[in-house]
Amino acid sequence: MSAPLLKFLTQVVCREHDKVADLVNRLLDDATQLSEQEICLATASLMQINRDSREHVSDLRRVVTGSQEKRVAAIEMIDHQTHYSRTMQAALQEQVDLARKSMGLSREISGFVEVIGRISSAARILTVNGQIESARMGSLGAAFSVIANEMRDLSAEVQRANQAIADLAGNLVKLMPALDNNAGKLLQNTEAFSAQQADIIKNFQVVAQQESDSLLSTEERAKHISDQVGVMVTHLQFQDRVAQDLREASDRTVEQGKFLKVLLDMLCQRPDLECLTEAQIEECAQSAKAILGGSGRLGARQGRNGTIPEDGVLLF
Amino acid sequence: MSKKIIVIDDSRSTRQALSLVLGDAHYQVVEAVDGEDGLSKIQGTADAALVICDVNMPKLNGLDMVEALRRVTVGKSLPPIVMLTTEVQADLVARAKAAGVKGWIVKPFKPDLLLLTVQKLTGV
Repeated sequence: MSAPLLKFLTQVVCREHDKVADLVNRLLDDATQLSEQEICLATASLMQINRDSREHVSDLRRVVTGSQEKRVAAIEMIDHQTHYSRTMQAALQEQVDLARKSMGLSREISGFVEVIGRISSAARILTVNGQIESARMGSLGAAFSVIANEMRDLSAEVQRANQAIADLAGNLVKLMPALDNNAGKLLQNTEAFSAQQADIIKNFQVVAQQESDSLLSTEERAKHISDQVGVMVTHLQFQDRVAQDLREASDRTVEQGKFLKVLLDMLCQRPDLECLTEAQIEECAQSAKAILGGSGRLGARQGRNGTIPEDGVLLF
Repeated sequence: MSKKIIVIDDSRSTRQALSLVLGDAHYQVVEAVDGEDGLSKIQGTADAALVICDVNMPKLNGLDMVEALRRVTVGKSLPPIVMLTTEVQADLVARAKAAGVKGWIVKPFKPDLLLLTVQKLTGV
């Protein structure tokens, strides 16, 4: 290759290289800014979302547990009430039966009152007859007259007592339908109360199921959010890889620039050369590399070669 | 008491991502910005449960740091070390294994897999 041509080409490449180096540096600045500020912010936000979501699930779990405890206590109370209600129903049923029996007894009493009334009337007639007979017997019948009078008074008293019993029995008979009716209504109300309690327990069960479903769904959503956050945090790290690649590109561009300048200086110091052999070009390149020294980095990243598993984690 | 993990990486965003993920799992994170800083932090943190270290870093790269650490701490017990890097070259992985490194994780890391690895190595 002609030495002047090589000098010319090296100068052109040097100039173009400076432009490329400038561009790479600008890209590196942008990528670094994006990497260090935006990624940090985005990662922090994502992790906060994940934390919030988990806290939301914990809060909901606490609420559901609290609600469940209260529900269990309420169901226990309802069970007690149901027990009382059944006892009350049995007592009321007994009362209804007793009321009906009492009505029968009252009617029986009314029957006896009639019998007593008849006996009392017969006794009164006997008393009158006794008085007549004692009057006819004169002084001999005086003792009978006293007995007849006593009988009359006793009969009148029996009649008054019989009337009082008849009135009471009549009143009892009148009261019985109302008592029966009230007991029936109370019975119906306690039955309705028991039915409502059963509905309340059913509603509790529906609410419990809804709470459980809601908790499950929230837990699933939180898991989904956590998975998505994991994916996004992973993706965000690619920005960092871009910044790292650009940093490496920038380092290499700087090294290339230095190399080209050293090479150009060497060529300029040999104006006597008209033509360079391949060996001389290689000699110049090696000299330039020796002047620059090695890089602190390990070199460009390479593709996977089977050493690392697909999930990217290798434990020794 | 939360376990202490030393994170050595020159990328601020990677350090932060690791701090967030590990902090969220109740680990305490100590950050170092390059190999030299990492070497000093490891020697100054006696109760570290794990070291997560990048490979490509300024001043002192991760593998050189691990080898230097082995030289200066002969006979002393060290926390397990895991490399977290974009590198996948077999010779680098072999070099790390020879230096006593316990694992190699490729960036970008998946938070759940990273945590699983950390839990395996720290026993928590």
